[in-house]
Amino acid sequence: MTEKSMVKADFVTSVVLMVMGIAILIMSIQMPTMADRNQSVYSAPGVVPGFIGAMISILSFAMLVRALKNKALVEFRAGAIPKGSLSTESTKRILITIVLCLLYAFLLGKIWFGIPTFAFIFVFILVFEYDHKKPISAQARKLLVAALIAVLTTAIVMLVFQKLFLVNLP
Amino acid sequence: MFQGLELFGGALLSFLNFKSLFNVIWATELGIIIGMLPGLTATMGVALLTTLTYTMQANDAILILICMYIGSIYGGSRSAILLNIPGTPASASTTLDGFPLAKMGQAGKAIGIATTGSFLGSVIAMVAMAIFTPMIGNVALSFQSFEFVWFAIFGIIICGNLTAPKDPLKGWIAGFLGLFVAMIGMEGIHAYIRFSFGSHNLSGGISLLPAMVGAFGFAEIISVMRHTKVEVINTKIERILPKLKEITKYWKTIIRSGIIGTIIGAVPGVGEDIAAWVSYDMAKRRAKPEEREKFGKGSIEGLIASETGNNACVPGAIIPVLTLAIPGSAPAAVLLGAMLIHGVRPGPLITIESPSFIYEVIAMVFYATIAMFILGLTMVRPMVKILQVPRQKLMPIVFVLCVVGAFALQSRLFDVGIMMFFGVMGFILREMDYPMAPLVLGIILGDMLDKNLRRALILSDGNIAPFFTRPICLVLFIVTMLVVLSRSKWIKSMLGKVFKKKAAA
Repeated sequence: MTEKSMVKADFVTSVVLMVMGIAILIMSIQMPTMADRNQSVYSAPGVVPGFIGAMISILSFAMLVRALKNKALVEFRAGAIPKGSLSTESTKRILITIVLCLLYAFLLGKIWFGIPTFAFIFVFILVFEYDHKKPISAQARKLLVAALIAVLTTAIVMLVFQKLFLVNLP
Repeated sequence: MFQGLELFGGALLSFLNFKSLFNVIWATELGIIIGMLPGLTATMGVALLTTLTYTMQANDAILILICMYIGSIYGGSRSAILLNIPGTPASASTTLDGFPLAKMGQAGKAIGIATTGSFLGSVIAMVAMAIFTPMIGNVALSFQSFEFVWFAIFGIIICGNLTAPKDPLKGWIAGFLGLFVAMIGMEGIHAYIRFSFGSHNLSGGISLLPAMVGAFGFAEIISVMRHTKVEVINTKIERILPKLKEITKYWKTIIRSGIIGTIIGAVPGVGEDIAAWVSYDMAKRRAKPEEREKFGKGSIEGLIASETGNNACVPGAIIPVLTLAIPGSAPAAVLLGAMLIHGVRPGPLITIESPSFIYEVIAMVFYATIAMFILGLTMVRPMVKILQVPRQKLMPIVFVLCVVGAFALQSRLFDVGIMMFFGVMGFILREMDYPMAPLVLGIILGDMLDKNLRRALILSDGNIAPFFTRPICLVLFIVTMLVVLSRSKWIKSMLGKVFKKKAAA
C-alpha cells in the first residue's frame, strides 16, 4: 500500500474503530452491575469490556488525529480508491481466491463433503492455470492433473482424518 | 536441583518408546515441510495439528505440537536459502546471507550451517528453560490478581510495540481488538453473556483455534495467491554436514544469539521473527570489521546468528506459557490453547500441581531438537522437490485442511465461518500494517485480564493504589509507561528540547 492510500485507510479505519470502541463502552455500561444480587459492583461484567472499549476509542482517536495531520482529507479529493488499482492482476487474484473459498465454505454441510471438496480443488487449480488463449485440446494434461490432485486429496483427507485422527468432517 | 534432573531423566525415559519416537519423527519432518513452504507458517502448522490431534492423549498431542513448532521454525530457513523467500517470518533475516551463499553455489553449506545453528540455539534455550522455568514458577506463586492485570496489559503493549516497529499505535489497537474478541460470550464470574447479539453460537464465545487458523492460514493463502509464480534457484547441493571449525569459530555469536533468542522468546507475544532480527543485528554490530563487510553478501556469521536466534526463541517462548500461562509467541499461544484443551492447566500453580509436567515439556523439546538436527541434515535433496510444487496446486489443499481443522474441534460449521471471517479480516488488517501477534495475544489474555481486574478491584474495594504500590506492579507499570512514551513523538520532541536546553546551558 502506498503512503497516500495508507493515510486514507487510516482515516477510515480510525473512524470505524472509534465508533466501535464507543459502542462497546456504551453496551458495557448498560450491562447489569449485579449489585442487586448482593455482589460487589467491581465484579460487574461490564468493567473490563468498558475499559477495552475506552482504550480502543482513545487509540483510534489518536490515529484519527494523526491521519488528519497527514492531510487525509486532501487525499480523498483525488478519489477514495486509486485509479486502476481494482483492475490489477493481483487484485483479481485476491478476489478470485476469496470468492472460491467462500463458495466452498458455503456449500459445506449442505452436500456430502466429498463433492464440494473435489470441485473446489479442481476449479481452483484450473482457474489459476488455464490459459484462455490456447485451445482446450492443448491443455488436456492440465485438466487431468487437476482432476487427479482433486480426487487424491479428497480421498486422502477423508481417510486420514476420519479413520486415523478420528475427527468429524463437515 | 537434583530433583529436577531426576524428573527430567524420568521424562526422557517416558518418551523412549516406539510410538512416541515415531510421532517425533513424522511431526518434526512435517514441521520442516510446513516451515519450508512459503505461506504455511509455524503458527498455522501448530494450530492445524492441535485441532487434528485433539482426540489423542495429552502427552502425545503436546509432543507432536512441540515437534511441529520446532521443525517449522527451522524449516523456514530452507526456502530462505534456496528461494530468497522466508518460509516463515522467522527466517526473514536468514534470507540476507543464506540466499547470497546459495547464489555462490554454497547452498549445501548454508543449509548445513543453518541446521547446526538452529540446533545449538535450541539446545542453549532448552538449558535456560530447564534452569529458569522452575525458578520463575516459584516466584510466580506469590503473584496475585494485581500482577496478572499488569502482565496482560504489559504483554499487549510490548508485543504491539515490537511487532509493529513502523507504527506501534496499530500494534496496540490490534492488541485491544484481540482483548475485545475474548470478551464475546459468557464471562467467568457471573456467567453473564456479553456481546452475543442474541446469537446462540456467539454466546459460547469465539474459540481461539478457528480464529488462528483463519488469521494465519486463510489470510496467508490469500496473500500467497496474489503473486504469480516464483523460480527455485537451480543449484547443486554438495556437502551439507558443516566442518566443526566453521561452527566453533563463531562460538561467541552462537552463545550470544542463543541468549538473545531465549530472552525475546520469553517476552509476551514477541516471537521468532523479532528474535532473529535482533540477534542478526547484534552479530553485525559486534562482528570484526572484515566480517561485517560480508553481512548481507553471504556471511556465515550472519546466517548463524539469525538461525540460532530464531530457534532459541522457541523454548524461550514456552517458559512463560508454563509458568504464567502467558504465551511468548504466536505459535506458543496455540500451544497454550492446546494444553488447556487437553486439561493441562499451565500457570503458577503448575510447580505445585504437576511439577513433572515442566520436565516432560523440556524432554519433548529435547527430542524435537535432536530430530530436527538429524532430519535437517538428511533428506535435503528430496525436500527441495517439494519447494517446486506450484502454489495454485498447493493452496487449495491447504484451504481444505484449514476448513477441516476449524471444524474438527467442535464439529460446528459456525467455526468454519469464524475461520473465514478472521482470514479475510486478518488479510485486510495485515494489508494496513496491523500485526497479528498482539491480536492473538489479546484473545488469549482477555480472559486473564477480565477475571483478574475484577478480582483485584473486589479485593481492594475499588482502590486502585495497589496496582501501583506492589513492587512487581510498580516495575511493570514503569516499564509499560516507558514503552509507550518512548514511541510517542510528542514526548520525544519535548525531551529533545529539554536536553538541548540543558546542553546549551
